[in-house]
Amino acid sequence: MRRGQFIIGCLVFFIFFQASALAQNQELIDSLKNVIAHQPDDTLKIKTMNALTWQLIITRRQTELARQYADSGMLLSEKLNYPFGIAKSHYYYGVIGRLEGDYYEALNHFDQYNTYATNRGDSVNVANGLYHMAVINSFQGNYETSLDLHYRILKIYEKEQDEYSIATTLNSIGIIHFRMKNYDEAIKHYNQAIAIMTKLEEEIDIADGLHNLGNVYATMGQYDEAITYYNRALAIDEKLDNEWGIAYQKENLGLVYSEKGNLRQALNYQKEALEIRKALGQKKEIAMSNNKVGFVLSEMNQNQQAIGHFLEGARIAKEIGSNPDLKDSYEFLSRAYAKLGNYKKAYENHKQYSHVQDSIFNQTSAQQINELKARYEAEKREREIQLLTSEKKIQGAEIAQQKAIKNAFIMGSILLLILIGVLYAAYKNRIQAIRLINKQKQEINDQKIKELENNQKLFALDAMISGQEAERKRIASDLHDGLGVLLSTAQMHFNSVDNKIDHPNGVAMYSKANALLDEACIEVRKIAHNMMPGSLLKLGLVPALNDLCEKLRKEDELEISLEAFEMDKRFKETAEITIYRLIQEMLNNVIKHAQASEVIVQLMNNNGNVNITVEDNGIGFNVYEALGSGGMGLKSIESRVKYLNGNLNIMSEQGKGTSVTVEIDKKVLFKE
Amino acid sequence: MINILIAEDHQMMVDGIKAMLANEPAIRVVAEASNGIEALSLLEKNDIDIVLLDINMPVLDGVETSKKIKALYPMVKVIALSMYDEGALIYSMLKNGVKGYILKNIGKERLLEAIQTVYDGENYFSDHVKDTLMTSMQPGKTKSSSEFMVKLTRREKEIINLIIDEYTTAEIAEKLFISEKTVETHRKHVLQKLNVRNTAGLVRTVIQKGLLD
Repeated sequence: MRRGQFIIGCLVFFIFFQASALAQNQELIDSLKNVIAHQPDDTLKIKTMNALTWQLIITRRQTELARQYADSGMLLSEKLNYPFGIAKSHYYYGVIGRLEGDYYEALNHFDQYNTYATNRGDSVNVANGLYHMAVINSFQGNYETSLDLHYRILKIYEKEQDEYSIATTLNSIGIIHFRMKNYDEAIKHYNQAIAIMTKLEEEIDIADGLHNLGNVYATMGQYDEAITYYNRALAIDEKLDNEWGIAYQKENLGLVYSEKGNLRQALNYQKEALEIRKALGQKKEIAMSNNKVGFVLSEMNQNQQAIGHFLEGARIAKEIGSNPDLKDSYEFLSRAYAKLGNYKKAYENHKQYSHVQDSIFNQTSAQQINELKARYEAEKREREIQLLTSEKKIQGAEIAQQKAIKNAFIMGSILLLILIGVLYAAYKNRIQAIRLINKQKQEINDQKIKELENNQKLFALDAMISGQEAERKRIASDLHDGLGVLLSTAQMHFNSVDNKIDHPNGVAMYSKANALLDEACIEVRKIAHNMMPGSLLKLGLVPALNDLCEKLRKEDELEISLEAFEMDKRFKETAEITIYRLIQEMLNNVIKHAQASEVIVQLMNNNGNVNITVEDNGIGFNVYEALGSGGMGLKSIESRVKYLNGNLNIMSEQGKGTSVTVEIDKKVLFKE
Repeated sequence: MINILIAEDHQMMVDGIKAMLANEPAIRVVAEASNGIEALSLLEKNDIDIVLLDINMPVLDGVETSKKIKALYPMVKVIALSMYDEGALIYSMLKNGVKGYILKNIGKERLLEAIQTVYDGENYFSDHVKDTLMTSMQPGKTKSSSEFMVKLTRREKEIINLIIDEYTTAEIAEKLFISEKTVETHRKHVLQKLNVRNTAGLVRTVIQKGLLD
């Protein structure tokens, strides 16, 4: 097997989209289109357009339509002077460009998106944008640029001290060096990545790094080294029971042994890989492995057996529509038949091979042509520059002496012109700078006014919600300490009357009155609890939610699972109360409207954010219509999320249930 | 003779309890405190057998006070005396070592029964508290049938599907438009949920138990 093929086998992942996912997606797209038609021109409409654009993009077939909605989003954002919307549109243009192979445009748009993210100090999103740019440059074969970008990404993660991301970036850098055939650099970066992953005990990623190192040594022809690394990766995968990883390591070990000429060993490894993949049911990989087993058999001149494997490979590749594997199968079949002297079959398979080859070519040709065009243009420019310089040299040699004086004169004039030019440019720059400063001042002022307005709104909301909760807390405590104590003491005293009654009717009346007092106590406790649960104030959010879920489980026969991860620390009281009410409201909505049988409530403490998810399996609803009509349940959820300065995201599909997530910055939850 | 300390911030309540215990020759109320700090300092000075401890008190509440009593005076037995009948509060008091939990509208006979039972080394709970204990599950542990059927959220399923399709963390982040850190948090979180050690175990469990749709 040729090296090129096995490297591609290791590095390229094929992405398949399931038909069912596409169908769901289409439903969402249609409903979004519907919503947009009825929305007024505000930022909410921009958000809907953004959502629609993204849905269209991920179908990968409707990029033209996606571009039109991105255009509309851009126009409206510009009209409303909404920088976030503008930046988002640039991002979408970038992704569309990347998908359509229009790389130059894509890079331009990501650049603008990054400028926006940089200005907002949102370095993680800058890294995101840079990552797209790096991938595009790598597609274009501009490995140097891609490397530069990766190093910038690396710097960002180093500043964020995000070790895991540092390691994955180092790994990507290693891959680019590998493609550039800078094997020493590739090895260096893989080793750095492995060192970090070792520290983080991310064993899967360590195995990945060792596998990559194996690939480098295999490509360099240092087969023994390669075998050592593959074996180390294999040991980790075996420890982790990572079956598909084991298959990959064995496959590559097989390839290296083929290169070394040890075909028997190679065959063993390929067969083992095939068996594992069969057990896992990974169809694409089974097709690949069949081709590889067949290839080794064919090298060993066991062509009849080899053909069996190729045919199986072809059958599966056809079934899953994987043309690259199908092409391999036909090519190998053709050769195996030729070796057996069955030239008719060899010819038939070669025809099939050419046919598949053509369709692969058609699939990728648009991108390849773009890429070639870009490379061609770069080369043309370089050649022109070379041509110009060489022409100048010849001319210069011919008439150097004649024109020496004239040249001096011209040089003098040019210098003078340059001087004038420089002065003029400086002057113009200064004027532009002043204008820019004025504009920036204006922008800062606008921003401040907006901020003040926002603060005002938040303040009002804050006052409303915290006032309401304070009042509830006061009433609850009045009930407990006032009425509750009175009632309890009354019953306590009344109880002592018990043995002093001798009239027979008296006993019955006593019992009746005692039961009523008991009921009154329970009622007070219930009202006080609804006003403000004691467990919430005394023990915190999670125990209180536990009680709440328990109650709903009993009363509404709803299967609720509550999961809280790393939520041991208490938040400030108002935040805990608000989150409790938020979840209570969400669960009320589920009970009232969703007709669900199961609900998941999940609280997750997630680097810097607290993430809340409430998900049901009910009938679902149209989110945009509901948000527009402003039902009370959603309104109060929205206002509480706003109060916590959080992000609310509702996903709902008719018949599939609803999932509501809220993300809140931890700073908001702790500061007083 | 059983020596009692009453820690309760409502004088009316204290008087009511004292009235009920007044004619009992074997029981003596030796001290009264109106908050947790006072109760702790009285415990140091007096020889107390049982503390009747209110949960809702100023300065130091019953939850914190019971924790301190358990640490400082392990021989002293505590009966929580409360208006609250919420499962989480009852459990947290039990965790803090209280031997009894009674509601404030308790009658004389029951109160005497509670004190005697706890003094004899057994636990005592009001009927209503018993009901709550029976039906509600212990907080912190996974509950009811969900203990056997772990449920995954849609986002978690999305991410696991991509992991199965061999996407890297960076690729998943790019595809779902979330940060790599978030992908990692989700992944670790699912590992905890399914009680497995690594991604390989995760994939196996998810497929074996049919947790993806």
